[in-house]
Amino acid sequence: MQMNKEDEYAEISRLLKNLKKIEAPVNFREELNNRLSNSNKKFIYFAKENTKKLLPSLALAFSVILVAIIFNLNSAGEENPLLLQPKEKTENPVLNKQNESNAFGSSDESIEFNYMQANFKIDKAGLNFRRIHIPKEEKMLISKLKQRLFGQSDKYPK
Amino acid sequence: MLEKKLNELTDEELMLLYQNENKVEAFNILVDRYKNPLTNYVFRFLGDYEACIDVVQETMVKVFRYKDSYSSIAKFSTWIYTIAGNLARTEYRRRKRRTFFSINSYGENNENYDIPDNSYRPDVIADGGIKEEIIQKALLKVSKTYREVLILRDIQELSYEEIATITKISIGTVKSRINRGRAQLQKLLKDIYKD
Repeated sequence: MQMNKEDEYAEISRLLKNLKKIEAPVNFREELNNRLSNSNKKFIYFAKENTKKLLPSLALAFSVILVAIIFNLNSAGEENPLLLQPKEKTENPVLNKQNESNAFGSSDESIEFNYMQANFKIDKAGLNFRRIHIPKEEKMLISKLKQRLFGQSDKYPK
Repeated sequence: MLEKKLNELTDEELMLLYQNENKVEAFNILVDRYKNPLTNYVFRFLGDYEACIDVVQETMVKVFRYKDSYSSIAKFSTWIYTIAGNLARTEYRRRKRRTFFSINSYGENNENYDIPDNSYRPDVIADGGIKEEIIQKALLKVSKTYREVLILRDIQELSYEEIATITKISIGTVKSRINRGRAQLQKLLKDIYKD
């Protein structure tokens, strides 16, 4: 198949093979040497010119980097606010609720209800003491017992 | 004496000598060996002698500068033909673009239209110039893809393997492109002879 194709176009191949060979000019090597030396000069000139052109932008970039480094050094002692642990909330939610309720003139029953809703825990964070609502009769009884135990003195805790 | 000895070396040995020992004499011998084949190849591809010499010179400059990119595994001829082919293709594209713009800018009013002067072309000056010119003109009308392999095969007489390496296509594709190129050229030449 390939041979047939070769035969088919044998005349064309022969025509192309017999074409006159084009030759390089006599001074080809001299021109090449000139070109090589010129291209080297061009490269040096290009490097020099570009350095001149790029100098202002290089200076600007250098000063920006310098300022960034100085700021970074100054802020090294400070703690990064993004890395700080959030502060624990110390406010007592129950007391806040109580205050709010009192402000609107709510009754003692509502306060007691709030106490029941509040989540008191004994955990690693510490102890939370529950305020217990004691009726007046019981308060009287407790104070009588205290008087009997400690007398009138201030030795007992209030 | 030294040049005589160097002349006996193969292309690859000369290139290695130039690569490793920076021997400019070796490079000069390579230039002398390849300046004519490359000129012939590039001229047949571009059809312009001045542009062709420029491309061949640029090829030599690339060999001189980027000697380290040559690998001793490869054949020197395929490497230098690849460089020349790439440069010739770039030049061809550039010229095509330039012609397109120049026709668009001036051709419509039939003003300032440059007619190429072919009188200095070596194939015209040479004996049997007209026939050569007809073939060259027809060759330039063959599609660029086919023309390149056709020149490498029928004018430069390179092997299919070498052409495949230079053009970075398979041998099968090289063969089919050569045949298509020949078919196109045959058709073109038939038309020309009819006229």
